[in-house]
Amino acid sequence: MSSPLLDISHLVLRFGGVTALQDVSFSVQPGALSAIIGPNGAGKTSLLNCISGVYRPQQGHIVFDGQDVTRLGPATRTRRGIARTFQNIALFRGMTVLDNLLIGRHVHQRTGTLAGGVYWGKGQKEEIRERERVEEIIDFLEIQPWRKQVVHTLAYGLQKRVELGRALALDPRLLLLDEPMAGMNAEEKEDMARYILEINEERGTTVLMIEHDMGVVMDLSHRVVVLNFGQKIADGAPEDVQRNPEVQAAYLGGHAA
Amino acid sequence: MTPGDTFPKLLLQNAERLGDRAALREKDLGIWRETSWRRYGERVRDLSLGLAALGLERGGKMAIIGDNRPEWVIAELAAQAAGAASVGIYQDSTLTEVAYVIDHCDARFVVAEDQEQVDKILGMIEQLPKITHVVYADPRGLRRYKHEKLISFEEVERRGRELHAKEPDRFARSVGAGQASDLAMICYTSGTTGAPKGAMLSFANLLSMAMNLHEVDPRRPTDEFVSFLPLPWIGEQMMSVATALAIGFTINFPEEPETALHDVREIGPNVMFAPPRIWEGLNSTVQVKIMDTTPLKRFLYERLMPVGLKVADLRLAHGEQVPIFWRALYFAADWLLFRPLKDRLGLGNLRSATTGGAALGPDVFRFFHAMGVRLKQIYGQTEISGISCIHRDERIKFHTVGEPIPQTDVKISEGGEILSRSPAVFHGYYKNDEATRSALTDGWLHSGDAGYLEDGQLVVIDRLKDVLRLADGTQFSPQFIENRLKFSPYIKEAVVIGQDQPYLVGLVCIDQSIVGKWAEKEKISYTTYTDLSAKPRVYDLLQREIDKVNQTLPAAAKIRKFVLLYKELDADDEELTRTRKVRRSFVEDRYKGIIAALYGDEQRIAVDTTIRYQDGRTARIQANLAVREMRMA
Repeated sequence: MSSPLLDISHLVLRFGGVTALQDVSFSVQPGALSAIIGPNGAGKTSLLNCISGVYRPQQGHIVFDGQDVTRLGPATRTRRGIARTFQNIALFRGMTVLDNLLIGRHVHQRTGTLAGGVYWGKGQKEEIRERERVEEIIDFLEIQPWRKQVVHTLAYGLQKRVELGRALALDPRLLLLDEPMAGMNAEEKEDMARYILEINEERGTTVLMIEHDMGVVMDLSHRVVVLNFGQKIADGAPEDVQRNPEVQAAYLGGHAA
Repeated sequence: MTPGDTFPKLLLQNAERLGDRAALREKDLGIWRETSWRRYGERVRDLSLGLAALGLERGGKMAIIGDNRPEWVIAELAAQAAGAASVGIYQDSTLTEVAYVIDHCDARFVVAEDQEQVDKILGMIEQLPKITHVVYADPRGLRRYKHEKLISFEEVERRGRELHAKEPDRFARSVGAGQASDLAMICYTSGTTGAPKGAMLSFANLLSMAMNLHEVDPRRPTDEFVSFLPLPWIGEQMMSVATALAIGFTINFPEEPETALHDVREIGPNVMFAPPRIWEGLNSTVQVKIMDTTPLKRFLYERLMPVGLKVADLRLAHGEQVPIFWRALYFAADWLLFRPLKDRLGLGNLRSATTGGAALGPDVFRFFHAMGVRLKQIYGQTEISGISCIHRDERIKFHTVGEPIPQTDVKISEGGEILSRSPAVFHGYYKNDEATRSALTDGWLHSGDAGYLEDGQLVVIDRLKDVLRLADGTQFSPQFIENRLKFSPYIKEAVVIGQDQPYLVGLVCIDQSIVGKWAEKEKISYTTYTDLSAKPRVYDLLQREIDKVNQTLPAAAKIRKFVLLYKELDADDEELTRTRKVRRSFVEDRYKGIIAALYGDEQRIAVDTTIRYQDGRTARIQANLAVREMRMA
């Protein structure tokens, strides 16, 4: 087995007296499509926040691509190749789809303030290159009709797609998705599932997602990590996890038969 | 040089003659990307040779399914250059229909645009034993597909290029072998009953249509056209393929079907052909936007639109002789309102605007004429390559479909059916001699439409099977008259009756919201729908509306008497279908008392009935309906 792209060991996260994550360890292989599942309050989003750098765990290590990133800030991690979407859409509501995606490209822009302020030369070339990249994403996500619309006027499902687009604009190696299908109708879910699969298969991007829709999780992911009350209770192929009595208990309550 | 007599020959001539000029343009990744005539020719050559190498034979068929993209027309021409016919398939057809058409046309090749279409075809490949190759244009999502019959557009083109390198004159020979009388395409028309029928059209058919249309509605090589209606439709083939090749103008393909109208604005086409729903859509977009705009703009619109309408009416009535006063006003209105408005809609450069496929309401017609867009009606069938009649610029009447194009004869059969004859009439239905025999007699094409001629202009009434007869044998189409009536904003529903009767009568339902508003303005007080319908002044108003319609009807088929019903026709009362079509026999039966009175001498009809509310409650209605007799000229 090749070395994992993401390796999490013995992570502990506390908020005052509440332990959100307790000794969580797992790893993600490059090119994998993995899912984190668990009941409400199990610590899924906290875990994702630790990986993207929003939270600092009290103990444990997060190793991304062979380097310990536990103490790095979110911006640095983004530059290293970790991008994410949020459970509640976090786009710039007053800006157009195009501008939101171009902002995603910001980390890749090298032109300084001065050169960028001049219309000709380096800045222009870079702008054309970035716009092309963004247009590819627009094409990929099939959002051409809304390119120049202000984000908050779009339907919810579309906003989710735009948010995915912005994460893609970062050219991530690891894409973290926090409930990409939440609040979507069946057709939107189907589209989103197709995009996630294509991102994973055609672009080779490693994906780690939190998702509640079990059908989606079981169909898409290669591997499932189950959290309950901050602890990892299962980790493996979707079929195995589904059969795990502890997982059934966590979801159905009480003790498994 | 004589112009080529097949599409591929024309393409080669254009590639030579027009070289680097844009033939096709597609918006991709946000930018309009051009394909020159030369490149168009090369791509067709490569694909055509590649297809031939894979076994596409002269006389074969190739089905094409997908959005409007350059690859669609390239595939079509490639098939034709190899001596095969193209068969366009509507993407929104049911799977059964898609399978039926592909199988019925004996195609061995299918060109499918993308994963969605490929999934469709591969999903039923078992039912399509004749298919040997499925060629896809867009590889996205198809990387893992490992079907033996699947091959990419690129790969076919590559094989064609190799073949071309080995045999440089093979393509020219293949194109040269094509003849005007060869089958160019089979256009399947989905009949309302039974399986779709495949109309066989030759190059000669399509090119004679293109040139005859060109003669009365000229196109220029510098024209821009946006192709956003389905390419399997004869109307789109007419413009994007036949006329575009014959004249050599540029076809623009929208980025996505959803962006089409936005792309129209970016291109600013010179020529536009669209079914009524597109024009109606543009019209209502404007109406809605005006309601939301700034007070100044709304003020301008409300003051200047009537000027445009007035001038349009004058022009349509007297040709160009518009009094100087109105011309001056229109000049101002044009700069202040119509030019900016047309620019917003992308109609600023429009020289030829046509509508076809169904009837368009006169108000929508007037709206465009007021703006200076001279919208014209086209009439025709797939079986006559799409067109037999078109309005002439100087003689546009909204209720007609215009005059026959050159080399085209139109006459009315004894049974009242519209017959047409021209070099564009098709060769028959593919593998359906029975249908061919009933559609063609001595070269005359039976349209299945009832109509009449009025000062050389054709008026289409209805489908022949929906036409009824008065007792004296006069034909009339209830639906035709009802639709005319419903163009009036005051009329919500109308039922015209007269089968085996001495004259026509109408049951009319007013539109409560609009008549109600009118009544408020006129200071007429009323309580309920029933009350409003019974007001004599409302009767006067509706009589004027019906009179307007009567003026456009032949003398024997005018409405003689009408009543305003005391309630709206309602699907809950089973009077309408759920799609709001009148259930004629049910209505005639339910209101038979009223109808009998309309054919009697009574001036008033007493009604005592119960109606059912949506919640299931019933109520008794007692009313005294007035019968109004129209004044006959």
